[in-house]
Amino acid sequence: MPELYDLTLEAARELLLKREVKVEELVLASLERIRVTEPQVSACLATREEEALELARDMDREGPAPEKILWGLPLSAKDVFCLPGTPTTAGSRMLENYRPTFEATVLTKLREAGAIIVCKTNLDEFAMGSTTEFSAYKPTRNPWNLARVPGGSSGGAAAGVAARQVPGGLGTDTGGSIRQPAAFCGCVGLKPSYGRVSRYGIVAYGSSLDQAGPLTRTVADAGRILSAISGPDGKDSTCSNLPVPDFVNLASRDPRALTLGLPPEFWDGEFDPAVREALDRALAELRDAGVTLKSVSLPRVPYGVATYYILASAEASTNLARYDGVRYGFRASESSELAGLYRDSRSKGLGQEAQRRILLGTFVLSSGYYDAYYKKAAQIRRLIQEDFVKAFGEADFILAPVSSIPPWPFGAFTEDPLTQYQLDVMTVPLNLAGCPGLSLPVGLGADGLPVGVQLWGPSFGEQGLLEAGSLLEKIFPPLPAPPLK
Amino acid sequence: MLDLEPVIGLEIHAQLLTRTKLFCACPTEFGAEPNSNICEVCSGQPGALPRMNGKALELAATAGLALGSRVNSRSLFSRKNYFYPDLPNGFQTSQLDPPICEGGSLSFRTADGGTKSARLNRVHLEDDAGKCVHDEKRGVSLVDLNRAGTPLIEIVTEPDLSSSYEAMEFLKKLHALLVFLKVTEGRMEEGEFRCDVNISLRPRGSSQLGVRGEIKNLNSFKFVGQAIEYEIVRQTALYERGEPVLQETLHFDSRKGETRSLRSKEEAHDYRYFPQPDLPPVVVPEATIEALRRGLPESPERARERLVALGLREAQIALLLERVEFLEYFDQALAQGGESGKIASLMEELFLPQCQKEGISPLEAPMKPAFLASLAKILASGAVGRRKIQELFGELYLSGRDPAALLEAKGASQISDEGALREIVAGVIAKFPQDARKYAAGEEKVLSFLVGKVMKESGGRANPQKAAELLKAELAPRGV
Repeated sequence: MPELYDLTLEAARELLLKREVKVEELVLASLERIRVTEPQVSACLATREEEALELARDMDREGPAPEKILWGLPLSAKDVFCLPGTPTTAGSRMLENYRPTFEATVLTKLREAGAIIVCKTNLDEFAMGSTTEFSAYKPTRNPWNLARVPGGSSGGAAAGVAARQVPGGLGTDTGGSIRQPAAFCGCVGLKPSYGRVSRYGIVAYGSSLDQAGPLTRTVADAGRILSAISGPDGKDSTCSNLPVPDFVNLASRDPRALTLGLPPEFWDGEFDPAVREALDRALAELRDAGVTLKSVSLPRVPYGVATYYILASAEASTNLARYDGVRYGFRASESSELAGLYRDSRSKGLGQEAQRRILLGTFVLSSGYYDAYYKKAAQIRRLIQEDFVKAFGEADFILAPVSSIPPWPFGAFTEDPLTQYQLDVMTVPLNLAGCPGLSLPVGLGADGLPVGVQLWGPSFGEQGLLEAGSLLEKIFPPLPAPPLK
Repeated sequence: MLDLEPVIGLEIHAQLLTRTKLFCACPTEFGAEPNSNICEVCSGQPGALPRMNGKALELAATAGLALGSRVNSRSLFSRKNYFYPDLPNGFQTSQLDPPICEGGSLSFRTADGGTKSARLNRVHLEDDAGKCVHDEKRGVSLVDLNRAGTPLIEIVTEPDLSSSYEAMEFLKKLHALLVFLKVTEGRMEEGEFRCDVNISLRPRGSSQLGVRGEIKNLNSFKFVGQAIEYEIVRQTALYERGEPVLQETLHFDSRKGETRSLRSKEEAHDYRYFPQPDLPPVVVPEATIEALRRGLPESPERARERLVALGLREAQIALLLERVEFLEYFDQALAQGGESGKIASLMEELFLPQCQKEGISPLEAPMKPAFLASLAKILASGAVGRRKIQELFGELYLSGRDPAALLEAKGASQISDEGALREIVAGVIAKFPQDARKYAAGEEKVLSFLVGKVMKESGGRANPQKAAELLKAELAPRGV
């Protein structure tokens, strides 16, 4: 029998339901694995040993509840999900001592499905970043190479899942924050359609783009978590009322009946040689399996990065206005007058990247600049949405790389934010379109680092996307455990 | 000397009469302990999201329809960004473009007795801020968020008003209409109806607008009048001295009766409006708009004409037009065939004060309109006296039964029967022989004393007129 921490959600569930393994054992294995690997990867901001074990023992006493699709399974939650009784920091000094009084809807749904949250994972402050270096607390390391970034902003979630701390984690994706770290750490990441999952109780970054989604080691596990968290929520007016299809029992697909569209805007670009080689190999394997690959253009995606950084920063600049030191969170105590209280609390409580995006967002919404930036970006967003609709008329799904370069060394771009923003070019268009996307590993590059691809599907087409993802997973099997001590 | 004319536009904020806040389920009640009516939404916690209060939407549309505005079937909320400690999210959620209602007008009486109409630019929905309490003694400022998230409509007029009199008349008319329609409680002292005044001057006859001052947050008609008068004098003096009027935001100091500058144009906020991404567009289907339009009560003007024709007193008319449910109750009672004057007076003197004491709406009172109509009939017939009704009213109100039966059961009907009365009268005369003699000797004023005794003996049930007649007959000088 493999180590308990090595089990996928599906495998662990089988053992739990047969009572061959106790929930407590599974949770203990997860906590022990966190203890062992944490000094190397630094994926967690907090663990919930007592609460998790107490819950586990209760479940063991009551016996299996097979109707709960995540019964007894340990999961992690990015530290943007409000969880009463546990600090919810969003990776920021500003919220270092913030303890929410209410629960994020997705966590309620996970709890009701029987899942046990064992830890809160690290992230770039307020989910702004693609390396987890902008966490106010510590950088998370890539389990495949501890000198490299794990991606971000859900870097803690991805590194933790890859390092076998937990079989699955919950992240958020505003411009690639689930898919890119999943690819960098060699696991599966799913960004649902905008509106599939409630945003209630998730510390907001870009409200019209944010979506919560799973990070797992298999596609089936991603479907299982998505099933648990999807669906209408009266507390989130942007959450869709559409019925939720079955994401657990997925139909199998015939590769010869699958057409994937490859946008030349991405595939014709420049790549790091190791990444290029891994991607080319993957394309060849897909063709060999009988999948039809064709070029499908998304002509407006080259404007994606500019559009995204205008819209996301605009929304962020006002979403973060509530962190003013008045009601909760960090307050600089030196100043006795109001403007000083605001200035000092926000200057000291918010980090460099958060401040940069607040300034950028404030600028693009300012009188005299609104039309040139915000309004134009909103128009281009609609054009990008049109591109997507058109593309799904030509192919079942879009196949895109995730990153043109492998996970980079720490500090590589911290002084060059514009270049770093540009590296989001292949992930942000999906958020602008509001469509779902699945990132999965296709193998390791010559440098020993994971390389991933993404499948994009039409809005609310997660079921088909997961089916196609399962098919791809057969061609590119999940990666082995990274070489941690 | 320059002949200048004031150009005035108003922005009115009215708190909507909903039980809960605009974007969460917290109560809107006034006077609760500070920070007791708050939740994660209205206190701006991380991750909390707004959800629309449908009742607020309905009230805003109703206000618009009553004002002749066009109700947009699709409107949008925006974030209006600024920092202040009483603003928990760092932005107000308000409607910029398109608002729920556009256009419309309201006519009002002018000083010379004519009528004038002011055009409306828009009616839009927004949430209120909390409030700061400055404790000078302790040197601290405290924030109370109970009011944060309370639903408001802002009604913006075109600059169609040209005197303090017109502004006040317009506001009184608007206030009465919105209160009548139950769109707002309109308690001005509690800030439920407040007004910003935009005012500029221009040479009479000119079609160009001058530079305006904006006087913020006036919460009484009188202050609106005073502030406008003060500004006219101040701005006129500037013109006469050849000095420019500055575009600025002004505060009216009601103690000193003068305005002072809060901030200049340069210091004005850049609100950085943009569409609120947490709220989808507000959709009001045409069918709903039509239903609201059909559900609008008759206008207060039309109702007034009708009540005047019924011959009601002015005080009664004004009372019935205070709230649409007062009028509805009256009409329902009237439909039962009661006498309008008696119904109105019963409502004015007994029924509405009782409702107010109980804090409930007339139509929800246990005394149904039919019962009040029945009581009016009894009163008109003289079968039960007014005093008796007054005395028993609390019980009649609560019983939830036809008062005729109850009064009968209580034996409250008046004794008009001569035989029975004659006996009581005889008894009184025997008991008070001296007084009886005085009356018989021509001391007229003793009669009311004797009638009072008859009333007392009868347990208040004697018909006083009949009693007086019988006393007169008994004590009349005989055989003369």
